[in-house]
Amino acid sequence: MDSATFGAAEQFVEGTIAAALVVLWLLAAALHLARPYMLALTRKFTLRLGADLWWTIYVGMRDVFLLQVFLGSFIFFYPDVVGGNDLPITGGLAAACAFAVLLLKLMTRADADARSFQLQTFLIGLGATLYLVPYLLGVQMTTVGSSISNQFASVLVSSQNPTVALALVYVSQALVGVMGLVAVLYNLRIASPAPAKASVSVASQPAAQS
Amino acid sequence: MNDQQALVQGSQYWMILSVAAILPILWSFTLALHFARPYILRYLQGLTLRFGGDVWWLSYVLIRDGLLVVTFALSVLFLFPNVYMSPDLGVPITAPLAALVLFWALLAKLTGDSDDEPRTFRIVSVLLVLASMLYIIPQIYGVEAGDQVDAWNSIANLGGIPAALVSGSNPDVSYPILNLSLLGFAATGAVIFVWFMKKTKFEPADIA
Repeated sequence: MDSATFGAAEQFVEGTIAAALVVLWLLAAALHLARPYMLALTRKFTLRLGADLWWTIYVGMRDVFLLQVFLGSFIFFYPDVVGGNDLPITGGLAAACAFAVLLLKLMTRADADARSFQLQTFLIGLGATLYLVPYLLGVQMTTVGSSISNQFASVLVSSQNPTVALALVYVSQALVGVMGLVAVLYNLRIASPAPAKASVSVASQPAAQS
Repeated sequence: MNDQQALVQGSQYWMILSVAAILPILWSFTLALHFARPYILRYLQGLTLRFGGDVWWLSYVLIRDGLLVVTFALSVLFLFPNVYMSPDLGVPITAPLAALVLFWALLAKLTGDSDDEPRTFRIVSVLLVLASMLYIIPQIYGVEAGDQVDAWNSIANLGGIPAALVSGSNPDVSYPILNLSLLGFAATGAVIFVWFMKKTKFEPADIA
Protein backbone atom coordinates (compact mmCIF):
# COMPACT_ATOMS: atom_id res chain seq x y z
CA MET A 1 0.00 0.00 0.00
CA ASP A 2 1.56 3.33 -0.96
CA SER A 3 0.51 6.94 -0.73
CA ALA A 4 -0.82 6.79 -4.30
CA THR A 5 -3.52 4.38 -3.14
CA PHE A 6 -4.66 6.75 -0.42
CA GLY A 7 -4.36 9.71 -2.78
CA ALA A 8 -6.71 7.85 -5.13
CA ALA A 9 -9.09 7.14 -2.23
CA GLU A 10 -9.09 10.83 -1.34
CA GLN A 11 -9.82 11.76 -4.96
CA PHE A 12 -12.64 9.23 -5.01
CA VAL A 13 -14.20 10.81 -1.90
CA GLU A 14 -13.88 14.32 -3.34
CA GLY A 15 -15.31 13.22 -6.68
CA THR A 16 -18.22 11.58 -4.88
CA ILE A 17 -18.91 14.76 -2.91
CA ALA A 18 -18.86 16.75 -6.16
CA ALA A 19 -21.38 14.34 -7.72
CA ALA A 20 -23.58 14.33 -4.59
CA LEU A 21 -23.66 18.12 -4.71
CA VAL A 22 -25.55 17.95 -7.99
CA VAL A 23 -28.34 16.08 -6.22
CA LEU A 24 -28.18 18.38 -3.19
CA TRP A 25 -28.41 21.52 -5.32
CA LEU A 26 -31.41 20.08 -7.20
CA LEU A 27 -33.12 19.11 -3.93
CA ALA A 28 -32.43 22.50 -2.36
CA ALA A 29 -33.83 24.32 -5.39
CA ALA A 30 -36.82 21.98 -5.64
CA LEU A 31 -37.75 22.37 -1.96
CA HIS A 32 -37.39 26.14 -2.16
CA LEU A 33 -39.62 26.32 -5.22
CA ALA A 34 -42.14 23.90 -3.68
CA ARG A 35 -43.23 26.54 -1.17
CA PRO A 36 -46.59 27.39 -2.86
CA TYR A 37 -47.46 23.69 -3.05
CA MET A 38 -46.59 23.18 0.62
CA LEU A 39 -48.59 26.25 1.64
CA ALA A 40 -51.63 25.09 -0.35
CA LEU A 41 -51.47 21.71 1.32
CA THR A 42 -51.05 23.27 4.76
CA ARG A 43 -54.37 25.09 4.34
CA LYS A 44 -56.17 21.78 3.69
CA PHE A 45 -55.29 20.32 7.08
CA THR A 46 -58.25 20.05 9.42
CA LEU A 47 -56.06 19.54 12.49
CA ARG A 48 -53.82 22.39 13.52
CA LEU A 49 -51.18 20.04 14.90
CA GLY A 50 -50.85 18.32 11.52
CA ALA A 51 -50.46 21.63 9.72
CA ASP A 52 -47.81 22.81 12.17
CA LEU A 53 -45.84 19.59 11.88
CA TRP A 54 -46.11 19.55 8.08
CA TRP A 55 -44.83 23.11 7.79
CA THR A 56 -42.10 22.61 10.39
CA ILE A 57 -40.81 19.49 8.66
CA TYR A 58 -40.87 21.27 5.31
CA VAL A 59 -38.97 24.30 6.60
CA GLY A 60 -36.48 22.11 8.47
CA MET A 61 -35.75 19.91 5.45
CA ARG A 62 -35.52 22.85 3.07
CA ASP A 63 -33.02 24.73 5.23
CA VAL A 64 -30.99 21.67 6.19
CA PHE A 65 -30.53 20.74 2.51
CA LEU A 66 -29.31 24.24 1.77
CA LEU A 67 -26.91 24.06 4.70
CA GLN A 68 -25.69 20.68 3.44
CA VAL A 69 -25.04 22.23 0.04
CA PHE A 70 -22.80 24.83 1.65
CA LEU A 71 -21.04 22.33 3.91
CA GLY A 72 -20.45 19.89 1.03
CA SER A 73 -19.07 22.76 -1.03
CA PHE A 74 -16.34 23.34 1.54
CA ILE A 75 -13.94 21.34 -0.65
CA PHE A 76 -14.03 24.26 -3.08
CA PHE A 77 -12.17 26.37 -0.51
CA TYR A 78 -9.16 24.00 -0.49
CA PRO A 79 -6.62 25.20 -3.09
CA ASP A 80 -4.91 21.82 -3.52
CA VAL A 81 -8.21 20.00 -3.95
CA VAL A 82 -9.52 22.45 -6.54
CA GLY A 83 -6.22 22.53 -8.42
CA GLY A 84 -5.74 18.76 -8.42
CA ASN A 85 -9.23 17.39 -9.11
CA ASP A 86 -11.76 17.62 -11.92
CA LEU A 87 -14.25 19.93 -10.22
CA PRO A 88 -16.68 22.58 -11.50
CA ILE A 89 -14.66 25.78 -11.76
CA THR A 90 -17.37 27.98 -10.22
CA GLY A 91 -18.22 25.59 -7.37
CA GLY A 92 -16.81 28.04 -4.80
CA LEU A 93 -18.97 30.88 -6.10
CA ALA A 94 -22.00 28.57 -5.95
CA ALA A 95 -21.13 27.87 -2.30
CA ALA A 96 -20.98 31.63 -1.69
CA CYS A 97 -24.49 31.93 -3.18
CA ALA A 98 -25.78 29.20 -0.83
CA PHE A 99 -24.17 31.00 2.10
CA ALA A 100 -25.73 34.30 1.01
CA VAL A 101 -29.18 32.64 1.08
CA LEU A 102 -28.50 31.35 4.60
CA LEU A 103 -27.45 34.86 5.63
CA LEU A 104 -30.67 36.30 4.18
CA LYS A 105 -32.70 33.75 6.11
CA LEU A 106 -30.87 34.79 9.26
CA MET A 107 -31.17 38.54 8.86
CA THR A 108 -34.62 38.96 7.33
CA ARG A 109 -38.09 37.64 8.11
CA ALA A 110 -37.30 34.93 5.57
CA ASP A 111 -40.71 33.33 4.96
CA ALA A 112 -42.75 36.47 5.62
CA ASP A 113 -40.70 38.87 3.52
CA ALA A 114 -41.55 38.72 -0.19
CA ARG A 115 -38.53 40.72 -1.29
CA SER A 116 -36.13 38.58 0.70
CA PHE A 117 -37.77 35.45 -0.70
CA GLN A 118 -37.34 36.72 -4.25
CA LEU A 119 -33.68 37.47 -3.59
CA GLN A 120 -33.23 34.01 -2.09
CA THR A 121 -34.84 32.45 -5.16
CA PHE A 122 -32.51 34.40 -7.44
CA LEU A 123 -29.44 33.37 -5.43
CA ILE A 124 -30.44 29.70 -5.34
CA GLY A 125 -31.01 29.79 -9.10
CA LEU A 126 -27.66 31.49 -9.63
CA GLY A 127 -25.86 29.07 -7.33
CA ALA A 128 -27.41 26.01 -8.95
CA THR A 129 -26.48 27.34 -12.39
CA LEU A 130 -22.92 28.10 -11.32
CA TYR A 131 -22.60 24.53 -10.07
CA LEU A 132 -24.62 22.45 -12.53
CA VAL A 133 -23.50 24.05 -15.80
CA PRO A 134 -19.73 23.56 -15.33
CA TYR A 135 -20.37 20.13 -13.82
CA LEU A 136 -22.46 18.86 -16.71
CA LEU A 137 -20.65 20.65 -19.54
CA GLY A 138 -17.16 20.42 -18.05
CA VAL A 139 -16.52 17.72 -15.46
CA GLN A 140 -18.80 15.19 -17.18
CA MET A 141 -17.35 15.85 -20.65
CA THR A 142 -13.68 15.18 -20.01
CA THR A 143 -13.77 11.73 -21.61
CA VAL A 144 -16.06 12.49 -24.56
CA GLY A 145 -13.07 13.40 -26.70
CA SER A 146 -14.60 15.78 -29.24
CA SER A 147 -12.97 19.14 -29.89
CA ILE A 148 -15.97 21.06 -28.48
CA SER A 149 -16.10 18.99 -25.29
CA ASN A 150 -12.35 19.41 -24.84
CA GLN A 151 -12.75 23.18 -25.22
CA PHE A 152 -15.57 23.23 -22.68
CA ALA A 153 -13.55 21.13 -20.25
CA SER A 154 -10.47 23.31 -20.61
CA VAL A 155 -12.52 26.27 -19.42
CA LEU A 156 -14.99 24.76 -16.95
CA VAL A 157 -12.91 22.09 -15.15
CA SER A 158 -10.78 23.36 -12.28
CA SER A 159 -7.76 21.08 -12.87
CA GLN A 160 -7.59 22.09 -16.55
CA ASN A 161 -7.89 25.81 -15.85
CA PRO A 162 -6.03 26.11 -12.55
CA THR A 163 -5.15 29.82 -12.72
CA VAL A 164 -8.78 30.93 -12.94
CA ALA A 165 -9.92 28.14 -10.59
CA LEU A 166 -7.50 29.18 -7.82
CA ALA A 167 -8.41 32.85 -8.26
CA LEU A 168 -12.08 31.89 -7.82
CA VAL A 169 -11.17 29.86 -4.71
CA TYR A 170 -9.69 32.95 -3.08
CA VAL A 171 -12.59 35.17 -4.20
CA SER A 172 -15.10 32.65 -2.79
CA GLN A 173 -13.18 32.43 0.49
CA ALA A 174 -13.24 36.22 0.78
CA LEU A 175 -16.97 36.41 0.01
CA VAL A 176 -17.88 33.72 2.54
CA GLY A 177 -15.49 35.21 5.10
CA VAL A 178 -17.09 38.66 4.84
CA MET A 179 -20.61 37.22 5.00
CA GLY A 180 -19.63 35.06 7.97
CA LEU A 181 -18.31 38.12 9.75
CA VAL A 182 -21.60 39.92 9.06
CA ALA A 183 -23.52 36.98 10.55
CA VAL A 184 -21.36 36.96 13.68
CA LEU A 185 -21.67 40.73 14.18
CA TYR A 186 -25.43 40.53 13.64
CA ASN A 187 -25.71 37.88 16.36
CA LEU A 188 -23.49 39.77 18.77
CA ARG A 189 -25.38 43.01 18.16
CA ILE A 190 -28.84 41.61 18.80
CA ALA A 191 -27.57 39.69 21.83
CA SER A 192 -26.49 42.92 23.50
CA PRO A 193 -27.62 43.20 27.13
CA ALA A 194 -29.57 46.41 26.61
CA PRO A 195 -31.11 46.44 23.12
CA ALA A 196 -32.38 49.77 21.85
CA LYS A 197 -35.79 48.28 21.09
CA ALA A 198 -36.76 45.20 22.99
CA SER A 199 -39.41 44.34 20.42
CA VAL A 200 -36.93 43.82 17.59
CA SER A 201 -34.53 41.74 19.63
CA VAL A 202 -34.91 38.03 19.27
CA ALA A 203 -31.58 36.64 20.42
CA SER A 204 -31.80 38.31 23.80
CA GLN A 205 -35.20 36.81 24.50
CA PRO A 206 -35.12 33.85 26.85
CA ALA A 207 -35.48 30.65 24.93
CA ALA A 208 -37.40 29.19 27.83
CA GLN A 209 -40.56 30.79 26.51
CA SER A 210 -41.07 27.89 24.19
CA MET B 1 8.02 -2.61 7.80
CA ASN B 2 6.09 -5.51 6.24
CA ASP B 3 3.02 -5.17 4.02
CA GLN B 4 0.56 -5.72 6.86
CA GLN B 5 2.13 -3.00 9.03
CA ALA B 6 2.27 -0.66 6.06
CA LEU B 7 -1.41 -1.29 5.36
CA VAL B 8 -2.37 -0.60 8.98
CA GLN B 9 -0.27 2.56 9.19
CA GLY B 10 -1.48 3.81 5.80
CA SER B 11 -5.10 3.23 6.80
CA GLN B 12 -4.53 5.05 10.10
CA TYR B 13 -3.02 8.02 8.30
CA TRP B 14 -5.87 8.08 5.82
CA MET B 15 -8.43 7.95 8.63
CA ILE B 16 -6.73 10.75 10.59
CA LEU B 17 -6.35 12.96 7.52
CA SER B 18 -10.00 12.31 6.64
CA VAL B 19 -11.02 13.49 10.12
CA ALA B 20 -8.76 16.53 9.69
CA ALA B 21 -10.39 17.32 6.34
CA ILE B 22 -13.94 16.81 7.66
CA LEU B 23 -13.45 18.97 10.75
CA PRO B 24 -13.70 22.31 8.88
CA ILE B 25 -17.10 21.14 7.65
CA LEU B 26 -18.12 20.21 11.20
CA TRP B 27 -16.81 23.55 12.43
CA SER B 28 -18.85 25.39 9.82
CA PHE B 29 -21.92 23.32 10.71
CA THR B 30 -21.37 24.11 14.41
CA LEU B 31 -21.03 27.84 13.72
CA ALA B 32 -24.01 27.86 11.37
CA LEU B 33 -26.26 26.26 13.97
CA HIS B 34 -24.99 28.46 16.81
CA PHE B 35 -25.51 31.65 14.83
CA ALA B 36 -28.84 30.49 13.39
CA ARG B 37 -30.37 31.12 16.83
CA PRO B 38 -32.22 34.34 15.86
CA TYR B 39 -33.72 32.59 12.82
CA ILE B 40 -34.78 29.60 14.89
CA LEU B 41 -36.33 31.85 17.56
CA ARG B 42 -38.10 33.97 14.95
CA TYR B 43 -39.62 30.85 13.45
CA LEU B 44 -40.47 29.54 16.93
CA GLN B 45 -42.59 32.61 17.59
CA GLY B 46 -44.61 31.86 14.46
CA LEU B 47 -45.64 28.39 15.62
CA THR B 48 -49.17 28.31 16.89
CA LEU B 49 -48.98 25.23 19.12
CA ARG B 50 -46.80 24.80 22.16
CA PHE B 51 -46.13 21.18 21.17
CA GLY B 52 -44.74 22.20 17.79
CA GLY B 53 -42.64 24.93 19.40
CA ASP B 54 -41.18 22.52 21.92
CA VAL B 55 -40.30 19.96 19.24
CA TRP B 56 -38.73 22.63 17.05
CA TRP B 57 -36.65 24.22 19.85
CA LEU B 58 -35.57 20.94 21.45
CA SER B 59 -34.52 19.51 18.07
CA TYR B 60 -32.47 22.63 17.43
CA VAL B 61 -30.75 22.56 20.83
CA LEU B 62 -30.10 18.83 20.62
CA ILE B 63 -28.52 18.98 17.17
CA ARG B 64 -26.56 22.17 17.95
CA ASP B 65 -25.08 20.92 21.21
CA GLY B 66 -24.62 17.36 19.97
CA LEU B 67 -22.62 18.65 17.04
CA LEU B 68 -20.53 20.78 19.37
CA VAL B 69 -19.63 17.72 21.43
CA VAL B 70 -18.84 15.63 18.33
CA THR B 71 -16.56 18.39 17.02
CA PHE B 72 -14.86 18.54 20.40
CA ALA B 73 -14.45 14.77 20.60
CA LEU B 74 -12.86 14.62 17.14
CA SER B 75 -10.63 17.61 17.91
CA VAL B 76 -9.14 15.77 20.89
CA LEU B 77 -7.41 13.57 18.31
CA PHE B 78 -4.91 16.38 17.77
CA LEU B 79 -3.77 16.21 21.37
CA PHE B 80 -2.16 12.82 20.69
CA PRO B 81 1.55 13.60 20.38
CA ASN B 82 2.19 10.82 17.83
CA VAL B 83 -0.54 12.18 15.59
CA TYR B 84 0.11 15.88 16.00
CA MET B 85 3.91 15.79 15.78
CA SER B 86 4.14 13.24 12.95
CA PRO B 87 6.05 14.71 9.97
CA ASP B 88 4.25 12.23 7.68
CA LEU B 89 0.77 13.39 8.62
CA GLY B 90 0.81 17.17 8.67
CA VAL B 91 -2.16 18.51 10.58
CA PRO B 92 -3.13 22.17 11.24
CA ILE B 93 -0.56 23.64 13.61
CA THR B 94 -3.10 25.32 15.89
CA ALA B 95 -5.50 22.35 15.98
CA PRO B 96 -4.78 21.58 19.69
CA LEU B 97 -5.41 25.24 20.57
CA ALA B 98 -8.70 25.09 18.65
CA ALA B 99 -9.70 22.07 20.74
CA LEU B 100 -8.72 23.92 23.93
CA VAL B 101 -10.73 27.04 23.05
CA LEU B 102 -13.69 24.82 22.15
CA PHE B 103 -13.31 23.23 25.58
CA TRP B 104 -13.57 26.73 27.08
CA ALA B 105 -16.73 27.36 25.06
CA LEU B 106 -18.21 24.14 26.46
CA LEU B 107 -17.14 25.27 29.94
CA ALA B 108 -18.97 28.58 29.41
CA LYS B 109 -22.08 26.71 28.27
CA LEU B 110 -21.87 24.41 31.27
CA THR B 111 -21.40 27.08 33.92
CA GLY B 112 -23.68 29.70 32.33
CA ASP B 113 -26.85 29.69 30.28
CA SER B 114 -26.04 30.80 26.76
CA ASP B 115 -29.70 30.58 25.73
CA ASP B 116 -30.98 32.97 28.38
CA GLU B 117 -28.01 35.19 29.22
CA PRO B 118 -26.79 37.50 26.44
CA ARG B 119 -23.36 37.80 28.08
CA THR B 120 -22.76 34.04 28.06
CA PHE B 121 -24.08 33.86 24.50
CA ARG B 122 -21.54 36.45 23.41
CA ILE B 123 -18.69 34.69 25.24
CA VAL B 124 -19.57 31.36 23.64
CA SER B 125 -19.89 33.05 20.23
CA VAL B 126 -16.48 34.68 20.42
CA LEU B 127 -14.83 31.48 21.65
CA LEU B 128 -16.42 29.43 18.87
CA VAL B 129 -15.33 31.89 16.19
CA LEU B 130 -11.80 31.97 17.61
CA ALA B 131 -11.58 28.18 17.81
CA SER B 132 -12.90 27.68 14.30
CA MET B 133 -10.41 30.19 12.93
CA LEU B 134 -7.58 28.43 14.75
CA TYR B 135 -8.55 25.26 12.93
CA ILE B 136 -9.85 26.33 9.53
CA ILE B 137 -7.16 28.89 8.59
CA PRO B 138 -4.14 26.54 8.95
CA GLN B 139 -6.17 23.73 7.37
CA ILE B 140 -6.92 25.75 4.23
CA TYR B 141 -3.70 27.75 3.89
CA GLY B 142 -1.38 25.07 5.31
CA VAL B 143 -2.52 21.48 4.94
CA GLU B 144 -4.57 22.03 1.78
CA ALA B 145 -2.16 24.48 0.13
CA GLY B 146 1.07 22.44 0.03
CA ASP B 147 1.08 22.48 -3.78
CA GLN B 148 0.69 26.27 -3.95
CA VAL B 149 4.21 27.10 -2.75
CA ASP B 150 5.52 28.12 -6.19
CA ALA B 151 2.41 30.13 -7.00
CA TRP B 152 2.52 31.98 -3.68
CA ASN B 153 6.26 32.58 -4.01
CA SER B 154 5.63 34.22 -7.36
CA ILE B 155 3.06 36.58 -5.81
CA ALA B 156 4.90 38.00 -2.82
CA ASN B 157 7.35 35.36 -1.64
CA LEU B 158 4.64 33.82 0.55
CA GLY B 159 5.62 30.24 -0.21
CA GLY B 160 6.69 29.61 3.37
CA ILE B 161 3.16 29.92 4.69
CA PRO B 162 1.92 26.34 4.01
CA ALA B 163 4.89 24.71 5.80
CA ALA B 164 4.64 27.17 8.69
CA LEU B 165 1.00 26.23 9.28
CA VAL B 166 1.52 22.46 9.33
CA SER B 167 2.50 20.83 12.62
CA GLY B 168 4.92 18.17 11.38
CA SER B 169 7.03 20.56 9.33
CA ASN B 170 7.31 23.21 12.04
CA PRO B 171 8.18 21.35 15.27
CA ASP B 172 9.76 24.40 16.94
CA VAL B 173 6.32 25.99 17.12
CA SER B 174 4.11 22.92 17.24
CA TYR B 175 5.81 21.31 20.25
CA PRO B 176 5.18 24.30 22.61
CA ILE B 177 1.60 24.54 21.25
CA LEU B 178 1.01 20.89 22.10
CA ASN B 179 2.41 21.27 25.62
CA LEU B 180 0.44 24.45 26.22
CA SER B 181 -2.76 22.82 25.00
CA LEU B 182 -2.27 19.73 27.17
CA LEU B 183 -1.71 21.94 30.22
CA GLY B 184 -4.75 24.04 29.31
CA PHE B 185 -6.84 20.90 28.94
CA ALA B 186 -5.79 19.62 32.33
CA ALA B 187 -6.46 23.00 33.97
CA THR B 188 -9.87 23.38 32.29
CA GLY B 189 -10.83 19.84 33.25
CA ALA B 190 -9.83 20.56 36.84
CA VAL B 191 -11.94 23.74 36.85
CA ILE B 192 -14.96 21.78 35.59
CA PHE B 193 -14.41 19.10 38.22
CA VAL B 194 -14.14 21.63 41.07
CA TRP B 195 -17.17 23.56 39.79
CA PHE B 196 -19.18 20.36 39.60
CA MET B 197 -18.18 19.30 43.13
CA LYS B 198 -19.15 22.69 44.56
CA LYS B 199 -22.39 22.93 42.60
CA THR B 200 -23.75 19.47 43.17
CA LYS B 201 -25.80 18.82 46.24
CA PHE B 202 -26.47 15.35 47.45
CA GLU B 203 -30.11 14.47 47.04
CA PRO B 204 -31.65 11.25 48.25
CA ALA B 205 -32.57 9.00 45.39
CA ASP B 206 -36.17 8.56 46.56
CA ILE B 207 -36.97 12.14 45.44
CA ALA B 208 -36.53 11.08 41.84
